[in-house]
Amino acid sequence: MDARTWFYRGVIPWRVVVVAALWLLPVAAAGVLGLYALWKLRLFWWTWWLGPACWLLAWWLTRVWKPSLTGAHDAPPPAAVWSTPQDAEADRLIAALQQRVADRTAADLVDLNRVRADVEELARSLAAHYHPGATAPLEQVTVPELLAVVRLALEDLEEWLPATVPGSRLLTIERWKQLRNAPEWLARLRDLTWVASVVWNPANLLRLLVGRWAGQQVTGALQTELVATAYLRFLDRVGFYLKELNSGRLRAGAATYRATFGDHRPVAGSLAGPRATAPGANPESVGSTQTSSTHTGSTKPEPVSLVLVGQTSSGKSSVINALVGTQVARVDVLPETREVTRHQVDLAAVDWGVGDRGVGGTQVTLLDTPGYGAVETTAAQRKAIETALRGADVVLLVLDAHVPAREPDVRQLAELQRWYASQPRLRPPPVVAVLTHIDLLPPPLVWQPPCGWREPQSAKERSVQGAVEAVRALLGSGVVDVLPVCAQQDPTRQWGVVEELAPALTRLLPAGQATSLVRMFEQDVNHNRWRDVGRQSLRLGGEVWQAWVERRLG
Amino acid sequence: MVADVALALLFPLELPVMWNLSRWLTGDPLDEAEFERQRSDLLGTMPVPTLWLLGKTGSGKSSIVQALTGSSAAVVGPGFRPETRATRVFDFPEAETPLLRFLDTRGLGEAGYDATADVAELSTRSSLVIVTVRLTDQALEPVLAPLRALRRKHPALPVLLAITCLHDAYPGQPHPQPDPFAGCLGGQSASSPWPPGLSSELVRCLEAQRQRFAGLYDQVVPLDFTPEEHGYDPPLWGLDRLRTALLELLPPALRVALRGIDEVQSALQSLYDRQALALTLGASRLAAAAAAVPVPWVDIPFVLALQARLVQRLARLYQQPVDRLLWTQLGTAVGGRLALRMLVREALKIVPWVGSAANAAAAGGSVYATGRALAWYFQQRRLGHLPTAEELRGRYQSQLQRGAELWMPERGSTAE
Repeated sequence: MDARTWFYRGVIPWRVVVVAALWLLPVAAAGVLGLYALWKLRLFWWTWWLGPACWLLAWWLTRVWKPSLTGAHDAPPPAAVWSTPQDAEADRLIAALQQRVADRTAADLVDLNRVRADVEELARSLAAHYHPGATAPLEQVTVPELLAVVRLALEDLEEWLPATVPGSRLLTIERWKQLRNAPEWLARLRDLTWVASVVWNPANLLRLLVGRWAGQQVTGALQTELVATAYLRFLDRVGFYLKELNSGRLRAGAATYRATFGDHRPVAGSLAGPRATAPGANPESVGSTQTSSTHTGSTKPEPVSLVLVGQTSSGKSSVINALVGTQVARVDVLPETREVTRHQVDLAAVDWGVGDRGVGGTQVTLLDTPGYGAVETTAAQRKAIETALRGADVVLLVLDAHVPAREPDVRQLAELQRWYASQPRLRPPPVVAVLTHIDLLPPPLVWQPPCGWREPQSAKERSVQGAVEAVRALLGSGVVDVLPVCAQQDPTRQWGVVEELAPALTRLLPAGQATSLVRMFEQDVNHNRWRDVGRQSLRLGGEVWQAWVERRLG
Repeated sequence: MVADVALALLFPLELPVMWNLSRWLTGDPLDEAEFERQRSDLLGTMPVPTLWLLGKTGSGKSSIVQALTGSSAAVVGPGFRPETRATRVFDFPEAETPLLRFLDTRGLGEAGYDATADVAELSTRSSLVIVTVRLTDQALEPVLAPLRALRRKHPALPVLLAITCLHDAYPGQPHPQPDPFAGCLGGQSASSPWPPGLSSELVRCLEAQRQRFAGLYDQVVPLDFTPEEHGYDPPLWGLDRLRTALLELLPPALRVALRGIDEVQSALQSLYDRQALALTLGASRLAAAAAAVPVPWVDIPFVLALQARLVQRLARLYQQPVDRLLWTQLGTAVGGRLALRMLVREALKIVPWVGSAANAAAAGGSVYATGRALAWYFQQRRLGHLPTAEELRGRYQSQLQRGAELWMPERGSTAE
């Protein structure tokens, strides 16, 4: 295919060519005129040496300025927001392999046998990680899952190629074949130029030698670096597909996977998560096993549910009232909340400092629970607390700051962690510890909002900081944050819920949404699985019957 | 030695007694190991009133120990982290001659602490349980479960329910004045023992705790012990109620020790004097116990050794030398009489019970009088005066009667 055919087919319109030529003409003319000017001014010979000098400098830089490929990969790539602790462990396995690969030379890196060995090793280790105890972990994957991952990879390749390879839209298979010869043509052209310049001026021979030598060194180093970077990316990508394949997220097919998780590419921190289905979503359905989605449809995101748990009279209902801004939950000095109560909150209507982030219309559900740790707590209440916790997207562990007996809280938290450890496909919710009743911390007769508790000045602020540190030391990595609040009914003693807690919760919403999404997806898939088996059997039976009838009749 | 052998031949069965007597007559001091053995034997037989503090972490157990003894040996935490990290035995005033013993349990409900073994072990060692509970604390499973088991297993062990941190019911407000609880002590009764005029929240919280612990306590006292710098008036609100309740609940034989503590507490003296008084009371109680053993002459070397130790201990407290002058003056003041007195009262022991009770009072009294007189003596020497032997004797005489009354068992009870 020659240039005329391109134009004829309208791949590059004449209009573009003419405009581009006119655009580039002054630049080209300036270049030619500049060279001529240098010649006339007899400066050409001076500038002539700039080339070899730059090449030598580049060579020297490649020796001194070492590439930091391994360093860049010390931190694993940003995980998908829906990644579970099991996925995080898998990420570490992938990073470990990359660490080993990064020291290889370019020739080793493009060796196909080695590539195959690496991919095999990765597949084996990830399969063993996701299916511990299986005798043949690689064979635990179902055939539709395998097909789904191939489809995913091909679709991504289709997206990736036009987006990143220049001119790839023009790349026909014929061009692809010709491109393989391009390096030879380039080398031939370069050699011809050199021969001509040496004939013209024998002093150019020196420049030629310098250019050749330094050029080889520099391009070699750059080549290794580029290949290594590309290879590490490749392993990331392969690792990603293997993770999705083994984690079971593909067992409802690639289409459902895309529809559910497609909007949640690894961009942490943004609120571009699932929105509430409709402003008037039925709040009572949250957390139950209901679902209106079909198998091939996506899992419909639900409002994020924030579950408040804590010992009796630790102040859960008071915190809810302060979060909502009105007295929606009954509070008293004696235990008041007897059952799990839901409060639907539209974030646009409350002062959580999120109005400017474009989350208007986002709904959250606050769940108030009965307290534990009292002898009055019934078995049914305990069960309700447990159910609420297991359906939580964000957990608020409410602790009375001035009661250091925290054994029941530690037990409750450990129980939740144990349960999630037995459910590796789910994502554990983030837990925030909320320290209430900070007004009763010593000195108890003094009350000033302890705004500066992080750098304490007053005795109260020192107490608040001490209380926060004690909880942090006790709960450690089990909680993402510890926040002191005072949610007394007396309005002069309210502090911290709007100032500290609400912004922290807003920051946690994406994580909560991811937790919700993964849980709803698992529920949907498990719910639909048996129905699908029945439907498939019916269809197969129908087809066999039809074929038999057709053969008999035809 | 010849006399010993002769006596032993005459009274072969009484050999140990004779050995002691001969040692006393020949002036041999009781060596350290022997003193220690006799002391621990005595402490084993003599019941030291032991108050067991049981409650959630942060409910104020250590504050009660501090308030009762005036000693800062029990560390009181800031209230947001557990402070008492292990169950401790706290002897007051000191382990050698204890008047009162506190078992300060590690807080119930503290993360990672299983109280079962502690509860089983301590229940056999205590004479009274003080259960502490914060007024507004509703999460009481960690306390109620072990307490129920304890009550079932040891129904006779008296339980005092101390409702602490009253100020939680009125955050930011001072205590109500005048004290509405003055003179109010709640026993186990169906009707509410709370006085009129309390705020409704306070009454509801108090009543809720009383209902929760129904049948699990013998007396209930509301209190609020706060550090002075918190600014509550009074800082130790309800200490009198606590003392009265303890006196009512303790077995009669053990009340005397508590009265001794009261004496220490109410003495408006310097810290030195309080410590000296506590030490004297401890030693005198041990002497009384030793003298109560109904075998003549068993206690004489022990009581003498105890007295010598008390002298040393007090001298150390007041930073005064124990020199020849002191012994001479002390000898003139009490020495000669002491020897005679001891022989007489030892002989009294031959009359069972009555004899040993009188004898115990005399031994305790003489140690008490010695300690009091010496404390005064050292105090004077610190101030630069040198009291005469006559003055010292006067002091000793005036304290002797008080000391003898101190360890007399209460009327209507048996001396055990």
